[in-house]
Amino acid sequence: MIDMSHLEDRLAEFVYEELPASEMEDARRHVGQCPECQARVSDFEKIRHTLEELPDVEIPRRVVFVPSNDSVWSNFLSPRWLVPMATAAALVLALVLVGPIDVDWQESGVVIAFGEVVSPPASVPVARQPAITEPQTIDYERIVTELEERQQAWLESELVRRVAAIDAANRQEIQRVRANLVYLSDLQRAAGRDTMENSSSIQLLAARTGVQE
Amino acid sequence: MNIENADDRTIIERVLAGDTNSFNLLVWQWEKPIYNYIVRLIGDREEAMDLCQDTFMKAYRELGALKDRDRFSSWLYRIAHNVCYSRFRKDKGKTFVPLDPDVAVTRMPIENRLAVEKALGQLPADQREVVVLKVFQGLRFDEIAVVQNAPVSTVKSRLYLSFDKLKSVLGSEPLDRSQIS
Repeated sequence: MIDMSHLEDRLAEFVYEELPASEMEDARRHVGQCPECQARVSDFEKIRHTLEELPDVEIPRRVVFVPSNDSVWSNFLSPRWLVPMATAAALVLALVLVGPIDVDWQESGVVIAFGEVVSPPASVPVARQPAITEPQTIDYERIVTELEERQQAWLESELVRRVAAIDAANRQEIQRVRANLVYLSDLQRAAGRDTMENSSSIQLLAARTGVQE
Repeated sequence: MNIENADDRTIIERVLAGDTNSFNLLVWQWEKPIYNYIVRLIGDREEAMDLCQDTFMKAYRELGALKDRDRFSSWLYRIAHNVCYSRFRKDKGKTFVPLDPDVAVTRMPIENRLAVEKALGQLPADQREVVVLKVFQGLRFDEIAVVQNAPVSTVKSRLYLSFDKLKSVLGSEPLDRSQIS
């Protein structure tokens, strides 16, 4: 008497050994005794092996991701922005330090006022300011010194940031080279296997065509 | 820890921690299986390359959403599946062109390879996909069910149907030349 029922829809799981261990053992016992299931397993295996003979398709080119390290800030702080930024900073600083400036636009009679103090509302009592009797002198040396100090601080922080970025890039590069080495060693192993397969195919072909060494 | 021996989970954690360059390790590990899956599903080598790149781009963007990092491969095949089926929907009616056998040397004679490629190309896409994932990619039935978003029983039915069709087309070995035309 044949042990348990036919494989039916468990056939594929039996062939690929994906049945639970206990069921697998029962199925093996059944197939050993059942010619009908043996024939079905044999047909299934034949198609499977025919398909498995197809070689892998070689990938035409590799997929490589190159992550961008440039952030918005690093672009913004790049040397090409340095001159406009310094000019703008100098202008703002000059306005802050020197106070209101009136410019006669190309001798047109139109006066453009920078940094003009807005008059307070009439309701707010304001202490009377003494009248300025002498033209205010501009302390250019102080402006230049302050600008130099600020630029120096910025340059130092920029230097630290760039050194850190170069370190990070170097670490990534080392990692990438290591990964490439792994990949190349895989390729080398695959090439070795292919060479062996090729030589055996050539020998087989030679044997079939009757070519003697 | 040695990066050479890093598994998918470790690499994913590195990528998510900001080491985006490590994503290339995942790409190198999976590009050939994914490319082979796509090319056997759609039949066009060049287009398969584009879809393969799309798959990895999507995987990179959505990596943070991957909950079970030990099931990266099923998740990646699922993305490739979606990419391919979007292409099927877009190019509805476009016929599948069987792959020309390349120059790779195998024990299988060229005429048999042509016949098998043609027989595979005649299967409906969902059945062909099961054959590719099971026979060529070696996924388990429950993993294929995830990729196809279908019950395991449906996946197995598709495999039996496809094998029956392949058996009727390919017949018994060895294949003769009349099956190629």
